[in-house]
Parts: sequence; C-alpha cells; structure tokens
Amino acid sequence: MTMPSNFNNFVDALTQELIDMPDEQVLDGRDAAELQARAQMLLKSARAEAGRRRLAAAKASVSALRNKPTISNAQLAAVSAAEARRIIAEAQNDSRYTLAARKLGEMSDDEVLRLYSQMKRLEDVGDKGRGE
Amino acid sequence: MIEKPNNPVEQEKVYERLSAEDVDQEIRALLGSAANFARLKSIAFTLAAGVTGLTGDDLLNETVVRFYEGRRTWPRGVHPLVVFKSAMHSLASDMRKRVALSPVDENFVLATAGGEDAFADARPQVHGAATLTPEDELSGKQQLAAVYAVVVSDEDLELLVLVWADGQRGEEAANELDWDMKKYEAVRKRLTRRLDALEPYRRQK
Repeated sequence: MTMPSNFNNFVDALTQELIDMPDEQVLDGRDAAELQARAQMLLKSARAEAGRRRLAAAKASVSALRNKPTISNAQLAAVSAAEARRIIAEAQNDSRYTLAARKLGEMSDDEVLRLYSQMKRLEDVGDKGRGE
Repeated sequence: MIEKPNNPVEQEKVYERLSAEDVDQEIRALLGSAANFARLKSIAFTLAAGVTGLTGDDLLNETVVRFYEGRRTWPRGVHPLVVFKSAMHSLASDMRKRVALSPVDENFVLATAGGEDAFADARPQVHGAATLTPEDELSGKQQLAAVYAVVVSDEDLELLVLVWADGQRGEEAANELDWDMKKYEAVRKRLTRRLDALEPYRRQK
C-alpha cells in the first residue's frame, strides 16, 4: 500500500466527518464527565493566560512609551530665538497648528521661545497619544 | 496596476469577524459540549502529529488563548469546528516552520566541519545537514506518516485514511471503498478513536 499524500485533504475530511457524526457516536466509550471537566479547565486556564499576555503587552507598550526620548529643557534652551521664529513661521502654514494671529516680528524673544516650547510639548503629547 | 484574478476560486472570501464577546460565547458553547471537546481533541491530535515537541493539548490550548488575545480572528458564519481546525492548522504549520528553521532542530545534524569556503573564515562554523527534503516539509508527509503509523496493520483504517487523503469522504468515499454506509460509519468511528491515541510524534534521531 502506498503512503497517502495529502494531509490537508485528510484533516478537512476528518473535520467534516466529525461534524457529521452524531454526539452519541463521538462520545460512545468516552467519559463525558471527564471531557467536560477538562474542557472547563482548558477554558479557565486559556482565558487567564490570554489576560496575562494582554497585560504584559500593555506593560511593554507603556514602558516603550516611557523610554521614548521626550524634548528636554536642555534641547529647548539650545534653540535660538531666531531658529524658534523660523520654525513658528513654518508652523503657521501647517494645518496641524492653530496659532494666534500675531505677527512674529512683534513678539519678544522670550515670547517666541515660550511659544516654541509650548509647540514642542504639544507635539510630544500628540506623538504619545498616537503611540497608544 | 493590480490585476484581479479571473478565477473566482482564487479570490479570497472576505468574512465578517466576530466581536470579542461573540468569540467568547462561541468558545464557551463549543467547550460546553463534551462531544465537541472530543471532536476538537481529535483534530488537534491529528494536526500536532509530526510536529516536534507539540502535543494536541498544547495546540488546542494555544489556539484558545490566541482567540481570547484577539490575535486570531473568528469569521462569522463558519462552523466553529472549521474555525478551530483552520486556526490550529495555521499554528501547527507555523511551529513546524519554526522548528525547521531553528539551528538546533532535531531535523538537522549540527557539525563543525567546514564548507567549501571554510578556509575564508577562521571562525568555527556550523552547518546544517537536512535529513528531510523541503518537499517533505511542504507536503505534510511527515504528519500523514504519524497518522499512518497508528493505523498500520489495520487494512480498513489504512484504506479510510487513504481515501480521505485523496479528498473523498462520506458516501463518495464509501462507494470508492465498496463499503455500505454502516461499515463506513463503523470504520470512521474506529479511526477517530485510533487518532486519539496519537502520541506527540517525535522524529527518529
């Protein structure tokens, strides 16, 4: 006798035949109570394991978010007022920002740097929100 | 330009997915029946056969976990046993591939003998000598061999495995075997019992 060659066909046929078989035939000679108990144990342990994995995934995601470098005061301080003015001017044409309609030229360097700092912090919060 | 296949058979059916709550209900209903649990185990044992280190119980458990995790989706309108069969088949297949790709898989002989280019690199080298052909891996012969091993010497069971593997079942299979349906059902029952005896199949070292 030659070795059968198609495992997929075999599994498909087996599944369909098991569906067609009456419960009495499937259970004949088997301990239904024991099967029932094992099924409930499986359900309980699988649900618990799924919960553990989901929790671990959530923790990993939060941890990755925390480790993501955020803009520091040092980085903010390194930006000159002129550079901040240039970036804010560009942002005024960016649909992601709604900036108060003030002329940049009328703002002091301190105000420009403060506005730049607020922008960067909002960007940072937005990035975090998208990452969740 | 992406061309759509002309043959409808090649077009993948798009099923609506069940919500997490519905999946939970389906699984509870399935596992709430001793007969369905027995059916699931028969399918799981068969699919795990031939996969190194995988038992039917492991496979079934991991599948339920993945449904609850949401990593496996549950298509609406498909018989729950068929949904589980597909999910377990896919998982077993993934495990098989992982085992085959692993450098420490039992299918491979690890050796420090150098290859043709060994002289080019002074570092110790590890080479895998495959004892299974890629064709074997793809065809599922190994899994069928494990099934065949538990029915060998019982001619009726061997014949039933053969016709199912050829894609025939039910009356068509009974006609092919020249059996009446009473005999067909009796042999079918015997075969499902025999499949329960599938031990975690270990490849010969």
